Amino acid sequence: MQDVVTLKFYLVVGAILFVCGIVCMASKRNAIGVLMGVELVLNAANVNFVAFARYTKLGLDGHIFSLFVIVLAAAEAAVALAIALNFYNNHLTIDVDRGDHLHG
Amino acid sequence: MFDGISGHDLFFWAFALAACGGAVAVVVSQSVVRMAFWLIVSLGSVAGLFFLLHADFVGAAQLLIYVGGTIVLLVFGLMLTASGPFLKIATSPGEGILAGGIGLLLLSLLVWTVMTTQATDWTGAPPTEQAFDPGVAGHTTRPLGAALLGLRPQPASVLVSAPVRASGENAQMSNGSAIIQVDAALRAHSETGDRPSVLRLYLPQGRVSSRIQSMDADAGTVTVSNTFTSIRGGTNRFEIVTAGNVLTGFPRVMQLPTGIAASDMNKVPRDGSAMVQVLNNGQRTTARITDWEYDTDTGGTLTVDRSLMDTKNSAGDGQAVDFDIVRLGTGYLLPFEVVSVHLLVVLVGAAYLARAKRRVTAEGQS
Repeated sequence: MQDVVTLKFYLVVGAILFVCGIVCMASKRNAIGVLMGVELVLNAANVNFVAFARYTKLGLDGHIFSLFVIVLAAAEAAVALAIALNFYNNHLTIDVDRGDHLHG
Repeated sequence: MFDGISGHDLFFWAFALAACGGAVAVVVSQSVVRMAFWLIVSLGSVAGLFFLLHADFVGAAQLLIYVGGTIVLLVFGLMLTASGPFLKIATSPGEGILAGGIGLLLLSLLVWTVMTTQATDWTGAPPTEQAFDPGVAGHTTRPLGAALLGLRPQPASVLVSAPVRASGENAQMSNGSAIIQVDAALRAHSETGDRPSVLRLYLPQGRVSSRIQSMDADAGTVTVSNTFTSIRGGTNRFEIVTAGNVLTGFPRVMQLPTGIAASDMNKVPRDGSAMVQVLNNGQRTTARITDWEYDTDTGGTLTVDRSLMDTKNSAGDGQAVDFDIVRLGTGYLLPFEVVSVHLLVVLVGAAYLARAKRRVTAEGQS
């Protein structure tokens, strides 16, 4: 039986995740929320990589790139969290709108 | 509609709805704890999508690193910062409406792009003859490890290619007949009476089958006719098919077809650092290339080191000998090492940042 679901369905799922992540990054004032938006964007890229690996000739290279992205996202979350904690130590809040010390 | 739905489609809709719904819930919920919960739902469903796409290792890594590691890290950060005078950080309704409108515009642009892009391999079922076959192998861990070392089964790494020219329905072999030197195991096999009858060539243009005219057991050569019975999609390998058997074996000296560019051949070193790859009943083994001679017009030979080679003769069909030539040092191991060292430095810096002294008490509650 021919599957109805093709590559485009996966790409649409990736697009929805990407837009949700972008909106989350742009609208949240909590720094942890911004981090979650970044995770969503990276996951959208991963969905596209793996879908192209399955449906086109990209092959295992797509898998390897998605592994790169997963590892990079974990490290990025750790670093950004350290920055957020430092920000909290200095400002007693993680509202990103209050980080305007460099604002001329 | 639902009586004809397949298992793959059913699971796709379940996981896709959970992933997209979780992502939307992350955006709309105001409590950060609920955002973390919905993020777990979304990322776990994306792992399910990975499993549906035959990417079992990536899916497992997603569950382990994302859901098990990153989310826990975020929740810890949440707990460490969820006190103080600015606990409630809400987005104003005007900002929410603006972000939603811009997000819908961006989403419509992306979906319109996906739907209107005309690519031939974007529609229809996934290709059945891939460079790797996870549906048969059942797992991708071994090919991924091989790919990290540079042993990629991708057709892009193949130098031996195209002894045929496809023209319309028919195809012509450029040099008339293929002569393939076979090793002693194949010769012994042929002497027992199982005479090979069909030679299959797997080429980037497709699979070509041709009838074997003669097989010289003493010289170890096979001569095939230049009329082809079929051409289908496939990758680069050849197999010799008898009535009930597929012969397996690895030639020590291989005859290279004409038509390889001299610039491609010159990339193959003679010091044993280049490899020729053997696909044998799903098991991939490699051998070092010790020497080669080649002329673009008359073809050439390829000599491999048998001592570093694993030649398993397993019974059953589906065995094939691969002609992929790959090179060591072209894998992802070096980039992965560079990235990991970079990340290590970054993490040490992050730890240093996080243990900085609190300055608020000195300045007064600013």
